[in-house]
This record gives sequence, structure tokens and C-alpha cells, in this order.
Amino acid sequence: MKYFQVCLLSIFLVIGVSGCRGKVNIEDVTLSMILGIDVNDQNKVEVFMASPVFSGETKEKTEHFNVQTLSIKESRNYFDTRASGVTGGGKIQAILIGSKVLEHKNWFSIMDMFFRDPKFRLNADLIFVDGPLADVFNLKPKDKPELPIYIPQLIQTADFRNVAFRTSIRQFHQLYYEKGITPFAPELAIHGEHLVVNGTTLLTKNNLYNRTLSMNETQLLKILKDHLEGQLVIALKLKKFKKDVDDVFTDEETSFYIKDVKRKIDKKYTNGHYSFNVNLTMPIMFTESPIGLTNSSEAILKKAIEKKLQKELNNLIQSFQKDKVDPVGFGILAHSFQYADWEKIENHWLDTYQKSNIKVKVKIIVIDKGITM
Amino acid sequence: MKNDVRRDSFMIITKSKITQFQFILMIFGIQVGIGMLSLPRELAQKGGTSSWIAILFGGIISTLIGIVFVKFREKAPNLNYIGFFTFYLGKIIGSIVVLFQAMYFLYGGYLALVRATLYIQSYILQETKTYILLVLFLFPTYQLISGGVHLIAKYIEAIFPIAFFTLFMLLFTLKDADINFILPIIKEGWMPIFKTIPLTTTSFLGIELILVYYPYLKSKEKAVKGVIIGNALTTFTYVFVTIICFVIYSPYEIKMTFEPVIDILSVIEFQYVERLDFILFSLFLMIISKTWVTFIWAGMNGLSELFKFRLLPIIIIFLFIIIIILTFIQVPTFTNTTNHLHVLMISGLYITIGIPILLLVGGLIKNRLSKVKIN
Repeated sequence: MKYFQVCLLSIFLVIGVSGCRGKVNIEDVTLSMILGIDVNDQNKVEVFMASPVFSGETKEKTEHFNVQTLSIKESRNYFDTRASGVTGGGKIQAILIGSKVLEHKNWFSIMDMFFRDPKFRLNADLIFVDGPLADVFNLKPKDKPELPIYIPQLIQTADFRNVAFRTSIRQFHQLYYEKGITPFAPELAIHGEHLVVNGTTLLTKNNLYNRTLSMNETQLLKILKDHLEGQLVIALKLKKFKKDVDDVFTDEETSFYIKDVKRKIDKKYTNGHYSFNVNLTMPIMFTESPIGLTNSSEAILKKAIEKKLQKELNNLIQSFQKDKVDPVGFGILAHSFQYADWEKIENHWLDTYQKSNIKVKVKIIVIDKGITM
Repeated sequence: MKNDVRRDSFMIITKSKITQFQFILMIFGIQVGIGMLSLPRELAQKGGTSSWIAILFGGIISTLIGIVFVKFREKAPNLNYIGFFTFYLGKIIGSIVVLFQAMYFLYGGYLALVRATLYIQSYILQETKTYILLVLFLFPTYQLISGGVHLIAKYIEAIFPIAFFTLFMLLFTLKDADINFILPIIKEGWMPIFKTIPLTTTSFLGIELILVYYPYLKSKEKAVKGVIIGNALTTFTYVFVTIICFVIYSPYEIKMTFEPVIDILSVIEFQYVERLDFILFSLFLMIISKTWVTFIWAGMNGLSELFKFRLLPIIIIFLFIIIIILTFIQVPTFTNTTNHLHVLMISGLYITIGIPILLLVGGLIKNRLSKVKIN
């Protein structure tokens, strides 16, 4: 019996060992780190890929590929016919979408593989690119690291400074399916030899391009969404303190850290009309001031900033309402308190959103005015 | 006459060493299994995001049924499984009930095992064949089953920290949470919540194993307390997992994710380690493993008591070969295992509700016949 057991055990173990098939050395892997999707001049979908090369002999440290296909998984077959190793998608860092893609309303369908294949890394960043992707992949800046490191770092630091959002593929999935919000993602542009984070691309609910928010507007959107990551420095021009019209140095600039945003939203619903009162309380710390700050002048400056910020935020929201985009997600707030009525309007929320009454109120608390007066 | 005495002594269980803590974890361990992985989606599909309240009701119902089981068991504390049913229902009906239950346990164990291999094939080892994974899984299963209930109890106790750790790691997903997704807490009134209660009750299935465990308990008088704590632990786990899924996923999104509890793991990422989800998922498998191990053991135990054979290694290996052959006869897919699980849940519901009624009727009839008060 004992002998029989040992025999059986060893047979099973031998079967088990074959389960370790599929071992791959890192030199033999083409890790796709950056994936790009674009529509070329012939109106065909192209898939781009950048992957680091683990070899001392090659001069270039990254290899780039592009193929024409409508299936990202199929593109991998083509990549494997060209790359030196087996292509793997588990370490993907960023997915770039060319601006021409956003002119086609069904473009989201190509993303299906990302959400279906469990091997895919859902925390990869989704980035829109202003201009053709071929230019990005052909870029060889001398003073910058290779593309697979360069792009994620760019987004990461921009996010830390709160001048760009960081939308992972997973978050974009949510933005796409949630009915109370419209999608957005950071935008890259090519300036000469460099890549620049341009701001935020807003999409309509049909996933078409709407407009690009500038750096300052992105900061304001971040405040509205109460979504601060690292440090947020806001610089404002206050006309009130302008001294000399002719001089280049007009002495009207103020800047400050926003340490925190406390967002409190009063939601009301009467006769099919939503109204949101967004109350923002922000502790700030001055870093630049156009005037000397005593206790009384501090109050004046504070008032001026409150007024200016409030005006800018309200303008931003009004422009959102005019364009029928809701990146702040007022729809989510709407269904968080009036669910029965939300169910009736969920499919045309943006019309209701356009008519609803949204007011922003800013309250500033000066914590620190610096070490000099 | 002498024969009868011997048979009776065979029915009495003398070795009872399961501690109170082990008993609590065994209840928790048998309930929390593959059902948990898709629970948030099923709840959201049926009753929206307020349906997590139904879990609490499901927990209360399950606790009550558990207490009823313990009360029945207290009348015949030391009899083994078949002995217990013979005591209440007589030889023939008792045997039939045990046979059905044993089949049910084996069916449940088989499904949990096959489903686990499907998850592994889908997430981690895409190229590995089903039978290889099954063989690898069946090795520890063999050891645990041949070790009997006491070894299984120790196993469940030993892997509890892993279960705790995995659940704790879920807290790291909360950095992307939006509380507005789950508000208002009661979205469409109480009706959808009540409608989800049958569904949540099925996630507490496994409570019927108290009947099997009971004679092995060290301190039987504290069993009711154990049932309450065990069920509370399960309820807490379900509510915790469900609420986390509901605040991470938007209400529209969660209906499209098959296994939100696995999918959510991929949110967790640290600077020094990416794809932590694969590691955590492998740990999740240990939590699932205790379901199939316990179910298969309970089924084999029932059969061995029914047909009076000892659980020799050869019999267990024979069962495993049948399991492997079955996966060749019907190649397991997500769709057909889901259908099988549905059948399992319905039959489980009938068993957990039917058995107390049967026992009650059987006890009453026996009272009338024998004039000895047992119920």
C-alpha cells in the first residue's frame, strides 16, 4: 500500500511539473509599456506600441511599432512578428489616444479588450494627445528619458502639482458608464522636441471631443471636484491692486497654496429643477502678495481673492452648462439625494443639468501670510 | 442483539476536540466562498445599491436556522450524522435524507473546486490545463480529508489570518471611493430590499453543516453562542465587501463586472509593487479552498456512515479520479458552473429549510409512538 502511494504521488508530481510551462526570460519579453491608438490620414485605425529593449548591444533603448488593425489583441500578433521577444501587456503604463480618434463616436469599442482581459493592467493612465500619435512615437528628445518612462513621469508630476488629472483606464470605464458625469482625461501636446501636459480634454456624453481646459481651468476643476493630490498653487491677477499701467511689472500678481478644500454641497430639488450650492472652504497660505500684509490689508486681499476665485469658478461651471459637459459629476450628486426623480431623467440628465441652478461660494481662511510683511 | 449494540456504538462519536474558536471559524469558513466574489454584482442587479441591507436580514435568518439546528442536535448530541437522522426519522427516511445531503455536499464541493480552477485559468495560469490544476488542488484536499474533521478545523483556524489580511487589504482600495454612489441609503423604498433577501440567504448556505460538526464539539453547551458569532462574522464580511464595492464602482458600472471582488483588487497598487491583485487573489484561493475541502469531507463522511465503510485513501483517490473524469465529460465553463451553482443554491435552500420541518414532524410522530418525550 505504502509503495503504491509513493508511486501514485510521484506520477501526480510529474504531471504537476508540466504546469510550469510558459517560463519566459525578461530578455525575451517585449513589455509593451505605452500603447497608442490613432486614426491615420487614410482613415484607418493604427495601434502604436513602445517597449524597452533589454540588451546591451542595441543603441536605442526603446523599440517602437505601429500596425493597422481594429483589434488591440490582434495588434499583438503583428508586434510579435516584428519584436525580438514575446509581447506582454501586464506592465502597461499609459495608453495614448490621438485627437483624430475623438472625432469618431464609437471609438470606445476598441477599448473593450482592456476591460475583458484580466491580464491587462487597469491602473494604466489614459492620455489624449493633441495631434497625430506618430509624432509622439517618433520623438527622440535628447535631454529626456525614454518614452515609457518619460510619459508616466510627466503625468505623475503634473498630477502632483494639480495641473492635470490622472485618469486610469479603470476610472475612465467608470466615467463612461456612469450617467451622471461626462468623461475627461489629461491631454499631451508636442511643443518642438518636448511633450507638454496641455491641460484636460473634456468629452461630451457621446465621447466626442468638446474642448480642452487650460492649466488654470484644470486647477479650478480640481478644486470643484475636491480632488487634490499633492500641492496646489494658484496664481491670480487682481486688477484692483494694479499700480503702473506702462510697466511690465504691474504688481498685481498674488499666489498662494491651497492646503485643503472642504466642499459642502447643498442640494435642492423643486419642480424638476435641481439647484446646487457649492460651498468651498479653503485654508490658504500666501506665497506672493501685491501689497504689504497687515491685519487690515490681509482682509482686503482675502476679499479680493474670494471674489475673483468665486467669479472664475462660476464662469467655469456656466461654460460647462452651456457646452453640456459635466466633468464635476453633478449628476452623481443628483442621484445621491433624489433617486426616484433621477430615474426618470437619467437618460437626459444633461438637459436637466443645463437648466439647473448651480452657485459656487468661496470662503478663504488665511493661515499664514509669510515671514515678511 | 449483540450486533445491534455494536452498530449503536459505531454511531456514537467519542473523539470531540473542536474548540469554540474553531467552530466559529468553521461556520464562517463554510459560508464565505465563491459566492462572495460575485455577491455585490448580484445584489446590485436585483435590488440596487441599497440591497446591502438585505444581507443583515439574511444573516439574522441564517442565525435563527442555525440555532434551530443546534436545538435539534442537543437532543442527540453524541450520535453521528446518520445516527442522528435515524434517531429522528427512522432508518429508511433517515438514510434517504443523508444520501441526498451527501450528494448535495459532494456536488457543492465539486462546483467550488471547479469554479476555483476556472478563476485560476482566467486570471493567473491561462495556458495550464484544467486537470493539472485539479490534481494540484486535490493533493492538499486529499491530506485534509483523510485527516478528518479535526484536521480541517485546524486548517481553517490556521488560514484565518490570511482571510483577515485579504479583507484588510481591501481597505486600500478606498482611496478612489465616492460615498455619493451609495447614497441615499434606501433608494427605492424597502420593497427591492425585501426582494433580495432570498438571494442573500443563499450566500449563507453551509449552515446545515452544524448538524455534522456538532458531535465533534468540545464544549457543546456554547454552540448557540458559536453559531451567533460565526454568522455575525460572515454577515460583517459580506457587508464590508459589498459596501466597499458599492462605493468604488458606480451603480451603473457594478452591474457589468462579473466578479467585482476580484476585479477590485487591481485598484491596489504601491510604488514598489504593481499587480498586487495576483498575489491577493492567490490568497483568496485559500479562503475558497476551505469551502470545497469541508464540503467534500462532509459528503464523504455522510456516504461512509451510510454505507458503513471506512474512508480509506483508495476511496478518496477514487472520488478524485471521478472528479477529474467529470471535468472531461462536461468541460467546465463560467456559464455552466453558474447554472449549476444556481441549482445548488435552490437545493440548498430546500435542504436548510426542509430539514428542520422534517425533523420537527419526525420528532412529533416519534413522541406519539414511543411516549418518550424527545421534542
